[in-house]
Order: sequence, then C-alpha cells, then structure tokens
Amino acid sequence: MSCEYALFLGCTIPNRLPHLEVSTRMILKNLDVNVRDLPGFACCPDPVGFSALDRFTWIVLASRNLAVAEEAGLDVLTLCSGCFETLKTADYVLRNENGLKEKVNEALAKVGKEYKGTVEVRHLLQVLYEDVRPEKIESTVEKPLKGIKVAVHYGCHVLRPSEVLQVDDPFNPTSFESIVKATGATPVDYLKKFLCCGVGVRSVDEDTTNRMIEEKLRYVRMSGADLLCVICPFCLIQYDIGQFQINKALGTDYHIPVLYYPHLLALAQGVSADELHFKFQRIKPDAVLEKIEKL
Amino acid sequence: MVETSSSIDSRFRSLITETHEGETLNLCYQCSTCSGCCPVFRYNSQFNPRRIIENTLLGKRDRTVKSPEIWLCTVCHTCTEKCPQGVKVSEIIIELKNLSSKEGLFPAHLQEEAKALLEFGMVSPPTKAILSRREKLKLPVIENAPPEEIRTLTSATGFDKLVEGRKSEEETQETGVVEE
Amino acid sequence: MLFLKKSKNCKVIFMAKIGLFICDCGKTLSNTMDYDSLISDLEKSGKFEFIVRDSVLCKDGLERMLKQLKENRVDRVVVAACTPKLYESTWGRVLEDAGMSRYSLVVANIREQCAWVHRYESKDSTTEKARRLIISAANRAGALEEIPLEKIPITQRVVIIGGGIAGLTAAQELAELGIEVDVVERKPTVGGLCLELGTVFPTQDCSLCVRTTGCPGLGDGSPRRCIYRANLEFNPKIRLHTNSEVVDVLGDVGNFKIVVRKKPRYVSEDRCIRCNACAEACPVEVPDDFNLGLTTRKAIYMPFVQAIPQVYAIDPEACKFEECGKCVEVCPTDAIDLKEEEETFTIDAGAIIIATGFDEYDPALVTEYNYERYPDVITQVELARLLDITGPTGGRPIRLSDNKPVERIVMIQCVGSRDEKHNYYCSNICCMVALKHAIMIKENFPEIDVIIEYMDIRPVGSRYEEYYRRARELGVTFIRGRPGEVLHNGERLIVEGENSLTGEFERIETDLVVLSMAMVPSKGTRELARMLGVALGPDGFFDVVDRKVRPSETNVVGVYLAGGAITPMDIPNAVSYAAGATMSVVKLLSRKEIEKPLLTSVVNEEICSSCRICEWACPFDAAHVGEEAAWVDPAKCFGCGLCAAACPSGCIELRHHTSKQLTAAINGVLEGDEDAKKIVAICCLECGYSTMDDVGMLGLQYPVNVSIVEVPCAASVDLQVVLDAFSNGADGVMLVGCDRCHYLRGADVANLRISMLRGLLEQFGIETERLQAFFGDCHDAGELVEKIRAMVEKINSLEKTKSILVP
Repeated sequence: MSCEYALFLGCTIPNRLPHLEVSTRMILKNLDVNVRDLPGFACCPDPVGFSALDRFTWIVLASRNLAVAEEAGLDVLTLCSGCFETLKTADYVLRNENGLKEKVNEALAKVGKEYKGTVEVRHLLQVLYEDVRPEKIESTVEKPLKGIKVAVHYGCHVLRPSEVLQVDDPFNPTSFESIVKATGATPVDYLKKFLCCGVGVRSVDEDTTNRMIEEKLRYVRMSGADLLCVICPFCLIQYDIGQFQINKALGTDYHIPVLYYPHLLALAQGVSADELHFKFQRIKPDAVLEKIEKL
Repeated sequence: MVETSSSIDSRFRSLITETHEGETLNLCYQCSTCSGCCPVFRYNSQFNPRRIIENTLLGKRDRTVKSPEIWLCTVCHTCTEKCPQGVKVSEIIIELKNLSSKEGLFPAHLQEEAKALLEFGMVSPPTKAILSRREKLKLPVIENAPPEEIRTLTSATGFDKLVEGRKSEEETQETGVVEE
Repeated sequence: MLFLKKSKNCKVIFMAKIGLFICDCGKTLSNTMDYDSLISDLEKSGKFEFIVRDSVLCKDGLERMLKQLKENRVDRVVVAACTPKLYESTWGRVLEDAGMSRYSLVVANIREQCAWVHRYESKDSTTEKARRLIISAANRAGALEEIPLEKIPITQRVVIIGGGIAGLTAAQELAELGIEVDVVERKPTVGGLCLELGTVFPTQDCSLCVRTTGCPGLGDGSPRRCIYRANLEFNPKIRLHTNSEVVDVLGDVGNFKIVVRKKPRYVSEDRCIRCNACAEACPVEVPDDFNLGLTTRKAIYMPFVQAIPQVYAIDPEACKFEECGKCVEVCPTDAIDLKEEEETFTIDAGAIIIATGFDEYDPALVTEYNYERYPDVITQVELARLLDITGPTGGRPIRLSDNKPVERIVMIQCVGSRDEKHNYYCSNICCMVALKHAIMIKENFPEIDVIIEYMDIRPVGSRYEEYYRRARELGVTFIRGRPGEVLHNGERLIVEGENSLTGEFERIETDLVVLSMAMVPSKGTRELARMLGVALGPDGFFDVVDRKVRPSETNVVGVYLAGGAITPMDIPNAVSYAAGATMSVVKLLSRKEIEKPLLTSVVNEEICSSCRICEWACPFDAAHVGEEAAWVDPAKCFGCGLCAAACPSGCIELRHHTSKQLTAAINGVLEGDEDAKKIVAICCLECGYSTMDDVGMLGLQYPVNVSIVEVPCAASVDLQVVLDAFSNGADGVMLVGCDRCHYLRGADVANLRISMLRGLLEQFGIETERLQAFFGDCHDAGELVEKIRAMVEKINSLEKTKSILVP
C-alpha cells in the first residue's frame, strides 16, 4: 500500500464523464487515500485500438506514462480499466519480455525519459479491496444501503489476462462484491455476469454491441437488481448511453440505472444525490435514489 | 463472390510464433473453447476465434491478415483466459491486427483515434465545454503532456507513417481482400 | 575441499592369487593381437598365478576352465575374452562349480572393446592395449571384496491396499495359490467404484461380476461370477478389513509392517445376520448420497445390496447413539455396540499391492459448467447410478431439480482433462463411459435426445470402435466443440458453445447436463506414497519403475501396483494389471526366504555426518538417516551407487564397485607408455557399456588411446575418482551413460556432477574439454564413435595432463 498515489485519470473520465471524477475524489478523501495529480500524463493509450495498430508504440506510450510516475516516485492508481490494462501490461512485459525494455527506453530517451521498472500499477478496485479493505469502507458508511440490490459488472480489463493483471480470481472473483457489501447493499447474482460490455467492437459492428448490451441488461433485470454497478467508464458509457440507444434500436424498455462504484459508495457515505450530478447520465437513477432516501 | 483460398503455408505461422505473445500458437488443438466463450461470436458468427487460429496455423493470409474479420475482436481476453492449452488467442489476434495494419488495412475509426492522439496527445482531449464543466464541478485543471512529446515518440516508432498509410476502401477492393 | 593428489590406491597390493584365462576366439583375435608377446609380458608382470590360453572359452573351454580351477586354487579369476554381457554369468557358474564365489570374476573385454575396434592400428599397439585392459581387470580383481549373502525372510502374507476390482482380483488369485491376503478398504464394503457403475463396457453387463478363481472349464465353472458369490467374505485365505485405512508402513520387502486404523462400524461382523430389524427400528432417515440424495436411508444401513461383508453399518454423522438406541433393543444377536471405538492394528506382510484406484475430479472446480449451482448438472458416475436398474429411479434418467421426465441430455467430454489449468492428461476412459451411457439411454428410452459435445472421440481398446458406431446408429448427436458455459433459463439448462464443424454458435436447451469428469488419483494417494517411499508421476498417480517393461512395479522393492492407481483404466486392464502384480508378488513369496547377494551400498557410520544427501540421491528409498548415522537398506538397494558418489564424506561405498576398485581399474589402463595420450571412458554397465559393445559389433573403429572401465551407473562415479584419474595420467575422461537412466535419476545427477567437475578442473588450470559426457543408447553407436574420435583429436592437440599438474 502506498502512502500516496499518482492519480491516472486517463482521458475518458476527466474529459467525457467528469462527474465520475467528482465522486471518486470524494470517496478517496473519505477513505484517507492520498492522491496527487501529476502533470505530464498523456493518453494511456487504450488497450483495444492502439495495441491493434502497433503493439510496440502502445507499449512505448504507456511506458512514457509510467516513467512520469516513476520520476515522481509514486505508484499509479487508475480509475479506468482500460488504462489499468494498458499501464499494467506495459510494466509486466517490460519486466518479462527479453530485450523489450532496452528497445522501449531507446525510444523514450528521445524525449528524455526512461522507465526503470519500479512503479506499481493498481486499479481502484484493488486499492479499495486490498489496501483500504471493506472493513474500513464500512466504517465510513453513514447511510448503509440496506436492501438495495446491486448487480456488479467487473468488465474485462480489470480481470484478464489474469497472469498479467493479478487482481482477482478470473473465474470466481469476490472483491467487487465485498466492497459493495461494505456499503450495506446486497450484491445479486445474474446470468452471464462476466459478459463483456462490447465497447471494443462498437465501432466495427454496432449490431453485435447492441445485442451484447441487451443480453446483459436482460439478465440484470431478471435478477431483480435495483442498479448495475461498474468500475470502468467505458462499461458505464455502454450500459448507460448504450441502454438508451438500444431502447431505440431494438425497441426494448430498459430502465436500469448504472452507477460507477464511487457514486454508490458516496451515496452510502451520506453524500446527497445533487452533489453527484446524475443529470449527466442518460438513465436517471431516480427510482433507486428514492429508495435510498427512504432508508 | 466465391473465392478459393490460397494453399497452405506452414511457414506463415513463424511470423506469429517468433513473437513473444505468439509462441503458444502451435499448441492449439482446435477444441473451440475460445469460440464457445467469445462474446462476439455468440452474436456474429463471422468472427470465429478458433477458425482464425486454424487459418493462422495453415498460413492463410487472406482469411487472417487480409480479412476484416479480425477487427471484430473486442479484446476481452476471455479466450486467452479459458484456453485449456494456454494459447494466447487474443494476443495472437492482436499480432494479426498489427500485421494487417502494416499493410494499411485497419478500420477508419482507428485512424481517427490515432490522429487525435497525434494532434492532442489524447484520444479524447478536453473541449471548451468540458473545461467549463470541470470548473463548475470544482475539479482541478489537469496539465497533460505536450503533444509534441507524443509525436516525437510516434515518429521514432514509425507509428505516424503507419497511421498515414491506411488504404482506402477503393484501394482495398483492388487488392482483393475478402469481403464479409 | 578436494585437492588433486596422487591416490593412495595407485599401487595395489596383491594379497589375492589371480588366475588368468585368455581366449583367442577361435584364433581369430590373433590376427590383430600378438598373443605370444602378450602372454609373455603378462607373465613377467608377476600378477598371475597361472595364464591359460584357450580358443573356445565359451563352449568346450568351460570344461577346461573348471578343471584348471579345481586343480589350481586361486582367489580371483580374470577372463580376457569377449564382452562379459555374453558369458559372464556362464563363467560365474563355472567358478561356483569350482567352489568359488561368482563375484570373484572380472572380465577383460579384449574383443568388442579392443581387437574389433582397432583393426587398423598396428598389431603392437593393439596388443599393448589388450595388455592394459587385462592389467586393469587384474587390479580390479585384486581389490574385490567378499560379497556376503543375506537371507531375507519373506513373510507369507500380502496386504492389498484398496478393495476395488483390481484389489479383489489380486486377492482372489493370491488366495487361490494358497497365499494369505489382507485387503484394507476405506469404505464399509469392498467393490470400489464398480459398485456405482451399474452396467459396464465392454460386455454391457453387471459391474459386480468378478473373475472366478480356478480354471474355468476344468471343473471350476464359469469364467465369471457375481461378487456376492465369489467367496470373498468366507475365503479362509482372505481377510477383509473394511472401514479401514493404512496410516503407516514400516519395514521393507519381506518384512513390511502395515499399520491400519479401523473406524468403528458399530455392528459386529461376526454376529450380524442381516435380518434388517435394526434399520426398520431406526428413527433417523437421511438422504442417501449413494443414490444422489434421491432416496433415503436410515442411520443404520446396509451399504449396498451386494455389500461384502454383508453387515450393516452405522453412519456416525446421522446416528443419535445413546440418545436413541432402538437398534440395540431389536437386534436379535446383540450385534450392535454403540460404544465401539476406533482400532489400530498392525499386519505383517512380505509384499504390498497398491490398488487404490481413482476418483472423479471435483466438478465444482470447473466453474463454467456450474455443477454446484444447478442440480441438473451431474457427472457420469452419478448418471451411471441413475441408469442402474437398482438405482434410485429404477434406471430412468430424470430431472433432479423437479423429478420431471427428461427429453434431452447433453454430455460434455474432457471436463478437467487435457487442460493445463486442471489435469493435463487424457483420462482414457471417459469417451467409452459416455458412449456406453448414450447407447444405454437410446436403447431403453429412445425418445430421449442424447447429444455428446466432444473434442475428440477416443474409443481405444479392443473393438471399442463398435461403441462409437452403435451410438451413431442409434441417433446420438455428436457436436465437436468444447462448450463455453452452462446456464439456466428458469426452465431448462442451456449449453452454449461453438459447433466447430459448422462454425455456428449453438445454444442448446437441455434437461440434464452430464459432465465426463477427469479421473484423478484417489484421495490419500500422496500420503500413501510418502509412507511407502513410492514415487509419484507428474500426473499425481503412482509411478512405475519402468513404463515400458515393468508396468506394475514401483521403485520400492516389494511394493506393486494394480489397476486405476497407476492411471485411469477400464476393467479389463485393471484385471490384467492385477494379474501382473500378483505374478510379481508370487515370485517374491514363493520362496520362504530370499538369498540376496549384497551388491549393495554400505555406510561407514564413524565418518557419517547425517547430512542426508544420500537420502536425496537414492531413487529407491533405500538410504535413510537414522539417529546416529545413515543406513542403506540392503533389501531395497538396487546397487546403482548414486548414494556412494553423492556422499560428501566418502563414507558410503557400493560393494563390488567401490571407488578403490574403480581407481585400480583406471590405473591399469593408464599403464604403459608415459608419453602416449590416454583417454579413460567410464561407461555405465547399462547403455554405456552396451553401446561400446555395439560399436565393436558394428565394426566401427577408434584409436587405441581410449580404454573402457565400467561402473553401474554414470552417476555413481565419485568426483575424487575422476580427479585421481587425471593426476594418475589420464589426459581425458569421458562419462558414457544412458539418456533414459535405468536407475531413474542417473543422467540428471551425472550432469550435475560433470558441471562440478568442470568447475574444479578450471580451478586447476586443466582444460575443461578434457572431460566429456555422452548419454545415449545403443542406437547411438555411430554418434558415440564420432564423439570419441573428436575427443581423441582434441586431446592429441593438448599437452599431457601431467605436465600441467604440480607433482
């Protein structure tokens, strides 16, 4: 556990969904997790598109970010699973692939940087579960979300490939459920829990993406959950804006609010809904907020 | 259009097996666990990871590197995680995508994303509207990397040329790429 | 720290009188060697009491040899002739006939390893080489010690661990031969996995049939019989210990002491008359796990209709004991004792057969098929119970979730098998099990749709292909593709996956999913292996000492394997392996005692520092460190010499192959012209020596500089011996061994030692190329000769080692 993390925001959260940043900073403060905003970070860059074009460039650009954190002597805390996979993979392959580190540093030298391999990359989920611990989270909860049923969605890039990421058991993880339980809410099981959100294929095959989103939401609805909880902004976009889109495209009628975990925890910590700016989300969580109010 | 595939070229696979991530290619015994758990295949059987691996083993460039099929992979890594023989399916598909990109065959939206990165250092740079919203939300001003630095690196790796080298739809037709 | 010095053993003091017989192989060898001058030189050396020349020492010469030995008493005999592999034992018998020990003989190979490989060298140099080989043999002979014979009494009893089909087959066979047998079985009844299987392949009949004893057709009746009537319980030679487990094994071959812990049955095996009054009176009813929980049984129950022994048992987790006691009240023979306690006892046995079989791999570990979550996902063994007419549903498959009828069954193959994440190996029998069940279902319930999802269909075994064809004939659907997940839609199960032959994604609705689970070693295998000192293979099953020619023998003398404990197998194989193990046991027990020549390792306890390196080195669990010092169990020792060479204090010596003898032999071949380059090839008596013989038999040639001395295993060569060789005039040393060591570990250990040696040589300024190694087998004769020639060339380009060393 580090005393202080370099907060890696990526670009999707700060530049598309800044309200996620708001709740995250709030809960980190409440949990005594110190973060610093380092200047000089760039796009991670994303593990789906950029690795596909040129793996080496992807690793170089990721290593550049790691070098920035290393210069400041800080470990990295990522809020987005995509950023997590990119940075963690870059760190892992530089340690394990023969000769790669030298080649990467050769390129980095051109901008006066070097990555020595001393930075640890951690996802918010990891930090909350392993470092802060569910007990501590629970202790900061003022308004336990008793009876609120939460369907958790891990997504892909925080769990797999498990050999590299080492966050939780890829087939039977429990960390997300634990931190949800810590808010007082009840995680519920549902079919196809590990189905990908499909953002990686959105631009190439919208129909498939829509059907992926629909199947997931169908099972979440069947489970009776009050909301779907995610830990990645892309999953949020897929299930929030995407929900709106599939209702139009496929004629469905889903109304399942999607919350980024810090939002859920913030509510449990007594933060008012207004301060969390759900107005920026497509699917309004009014019904569940009312339920929470009544608790 | 009925096309006959090229003859088998077992040497093609060395392009993959000689990479760090592609070493495991030969271990595949075509059990179809990857396709069985693939989130894309279940909706779109045009994308079939097992078949892609088979075609890679047989060296069929037109069904792999030159095919738009490989771009349907959502890189969820479920296949790699579940493969009973430890074949890194998703990583191998990434290698195929890299080979494809080198030949200028990659989707248009990725070219746009890449160009945004080259211009701003970020795929989603902050707009004026967002900066104003951030201010209202009392969020700190984030100082990002100067895009020139990113461009220096991408120039060093040849990424900029790769991005420029994308073949248009007409050009792709001429080279006889397999259509969906 | 080892240092190079002239070995004190360099000069051998002869106390022994040595006789020499030298053969010229029908006079043919005198073409390449000058026998007259050879014999003359040998006479001058004064090492021999007599030197007799013969032309046919292997045939007519045997009589002459015997006469010579009877008339001229000597202590040791050297025979210089063809390879010892041919006639060493024959000549040994001649020595015995003359009243000597056969271990007083040393053979000098002057044919395959001299005359035949040096045809193009000068006659003088070949003759000189032969002289050195004979001197080497004489040196070794002079250093030989007496080999004591130990009488190992063999207890005339066998313990069989595990009472399944393999164990019971072995028990019956042994009993028929009049051998006392104790079967130790963990469950309250013998029968093992077969009890759960109902109908078995390849005969599609009752799994409970066992072999009849005796010869069918010779008045002993039919070839098979129900276990119930196989006279296991009342056979005077067989003692069945049920509810029993082995907790420790002491002693060794011929004198094992097997410690058994017996859990209380609470019902006396002697007094129970199987009247069922107790079960009727018992108020406690629990789900019967044996029947998948679909039926109930009482806390006191008969484990199986045809249980052996036919005695009730009490389930200690269900029973209320003294609080209730109704069974005790009604039992007419006072057979029930609710206070019965656990018992521990020891069985003395001469041999042990491990027949512990295998279990199904835990299906909950393959999470994607949701075995724990959905009751309608079952395993093949559970299905077998369902399909058994005596089972909970009378043989009809039903949906376990709601007892409704089944319209479709999907079987999934290779669950947890051929999978690096679970078990890498193929479990051998699951294809046949699935086909058997599929056929049974289609034949009896043709309306049920059966689908088998597979990667490969492997009906290996005599005529098993018939099953695959029959299944197809009956309309079983085969889908090639390993499913990704098993789900439930509220009504039925859904199996998702690709049909790899059509390339389509299938979502198959079904009532039952049957998992063909991997087969893994049964619970307790690891502990049992540790108790016995038996090695385990990389798949976790008990390992055999040679997979090719000894498929049911372990690396521990007196411990044998039968059946599924070796690897998952079908019943015909289990029975066959049991017969093999029985044969091994009978060979052992057929003699009341075994006279073992102690060609084994001996520890000098005064020098031993109890470092335990010998324990690590020994592949046969023969070396043990006791309270004071190490001890090598002569009953278990295979005579490989790995312990002796590994011992850092030099306190272990292998009889008949001591370092002194080896050094004496090496010094013999290093005699002669001080300026000539000499290479010593130390060959193991398995592949090493044989390959060298092959070289001779193939007529391949190499220079006279290379002389061979033999050791039991390449890994039995002490570091000091090699260093001494260099300091006594060797310019090069080559170690020749088997690539598949016949003593299991030799090649690995030898390679370690060679690295150490090279490091030491470097320190002394000796070129490391002077030490070479070759591991191969007799196919590699050509390659070996190439290597020898290359080495000779290399050594010829270097100086004499002696000139590098400080005298």
